[in-house]
Amino acid sequence: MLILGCDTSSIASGALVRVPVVDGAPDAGHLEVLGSFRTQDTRSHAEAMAPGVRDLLETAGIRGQDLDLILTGVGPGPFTGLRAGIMTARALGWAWKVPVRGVVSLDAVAEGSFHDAASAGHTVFGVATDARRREVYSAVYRLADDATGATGYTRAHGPVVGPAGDLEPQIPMAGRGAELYADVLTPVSGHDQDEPLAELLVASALRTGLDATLESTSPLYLRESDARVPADRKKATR
Amino acid sequence: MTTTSAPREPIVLGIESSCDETGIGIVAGRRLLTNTVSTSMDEHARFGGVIPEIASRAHLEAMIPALDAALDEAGVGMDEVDAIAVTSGPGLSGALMVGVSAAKALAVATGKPLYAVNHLVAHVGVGLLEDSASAAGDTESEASLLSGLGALLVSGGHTEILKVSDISGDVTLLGSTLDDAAGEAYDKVARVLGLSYPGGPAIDRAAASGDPRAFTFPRGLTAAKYMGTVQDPGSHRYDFSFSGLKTAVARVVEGLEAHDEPVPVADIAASFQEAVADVVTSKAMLACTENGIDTLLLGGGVAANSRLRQLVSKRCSEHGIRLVVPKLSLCTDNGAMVAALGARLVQSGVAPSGLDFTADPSLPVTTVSIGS
Repeated sequence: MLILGCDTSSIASGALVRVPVVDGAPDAGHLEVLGSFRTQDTRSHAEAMAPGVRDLLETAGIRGQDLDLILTGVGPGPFTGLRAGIMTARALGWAWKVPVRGVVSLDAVAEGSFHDAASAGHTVFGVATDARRREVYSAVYRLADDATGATGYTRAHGPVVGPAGDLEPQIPMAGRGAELYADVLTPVSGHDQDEPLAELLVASALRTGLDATLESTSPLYLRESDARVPADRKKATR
Repeated sequence: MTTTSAPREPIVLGIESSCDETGIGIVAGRRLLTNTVSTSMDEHARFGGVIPEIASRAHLEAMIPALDAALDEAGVGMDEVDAIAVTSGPGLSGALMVGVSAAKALAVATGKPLYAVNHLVAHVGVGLLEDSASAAGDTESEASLLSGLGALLVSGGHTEILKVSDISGDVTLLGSTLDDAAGEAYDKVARVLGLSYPGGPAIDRAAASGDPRAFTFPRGLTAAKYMGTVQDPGSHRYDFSFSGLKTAVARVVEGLEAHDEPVPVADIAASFQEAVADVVTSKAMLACTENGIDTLLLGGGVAANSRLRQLVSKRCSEHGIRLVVPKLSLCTDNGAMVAALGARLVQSGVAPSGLDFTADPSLPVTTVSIGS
């Protein structure tokens, strides 16, 4: 099974993932990342995504029509960049006739940090990313605590947006929010600069089960537009 | 597709998302196949103007349905499309980014060449389409449209006079607004008068029963120091300003209200409309006669305004200038104009833009399309 992942909720990234199908179900434990790309900055989503995907496919020698699924991060994240990735995924899926489904972008950060959170003895951890305006996008995850040790995590709360100071200070957080608001947040050690990455987004979706991915790929804005209905017209004379 | 012996007209799909209209147009050379437009205008009404974030959100949700509808109406498949064109500026940054992202993805998915084109030049390009002219206008032959061509673009986002020496690469800006666009002034004045949004049609309706000479409102940037002479032009000979006009209307209304006098809405609307139409058309005539323009294309949503149409038509005929007014559906923002300009670029052998270009909210009119 071939999956293209895209995420533009912070930096822009893309990944081409192959996963074996065993008894009709993808075997998440044996996924193979065929290629990936990521930007360093958070402002070039509309420039980076299309050439990035083109190069990914060319390098791997795979045609878009051969993809089985496109997964796109649906945020939360800064709106303009987020839309660029979702629009890219939707248009690719439309033209290739490949289904497109959504994944909460914070789950990609959880995927990259849950092992270390478990190793550090935590049972609960969180993800916090930069929401600008002195706020973070966040979610809280509960680590699975079966006999074999931590094999996964489930999102217990969120995603939400708000000041970092409103979060439970004792829950360790992964993601750049932990670095930006180090004064009020405790980091999951070594993960306070983690970005949501497309390959981790795909891995997270496979771990949770593709049936649990979102049918809607509309962005999780979490905030309304800033527009205010004008109450009274401004006077030209005083 | 197999190649045929005779070169056929290129089929181009155009995407427009620079403001509040999500437009997909498909043309075959100069022939319009479809023009699908989805607008978020109603969502902006309560704010009295376009809210960029609301427009951007609407573009994202409207794009795929608009693509489906356009291909369906045109009866063509993506495999038959020869090139894709997209507005890359000028316009609202976040709104442009949605169309640009869609267009780049389609280019990657299909391998078709992509042209990033200028929104303002596309407004002119739509005049190249067969049967683009309104019922009242002539159907122009392509050749006659291409010599001595100028454009007057008047909308909620733009008020510009262009000289189009070569639509595929040589366009100059003769004049533009220094502050509000004319359509924006209409919206703001409509609000002052308690009329609905968008202000253009509302003021036009109110003005019908008003006296355009009841009030004398200022014509911006018409003082001698701005105008200068043909030999020694002033700093803003062909430029516009509408913020003073808007304030002048507000002062009149507030003055009347302060004295508990009734506001003669129709007279104010008519006088305001007269001021706009007068200054826009008189400066356009100056620009045409002084720059060898003998064909003027009127574009933008305010082209629907009855007084502007009337006055520009009268003054053009007085000056021996041929006026071309596309159908209103092609005057307002749409994808067909983007496709039409794209087809012209393909036929002129202009190189496509590649995938690395950026949406540019202030793309200068001299950049007709972005080079690769």
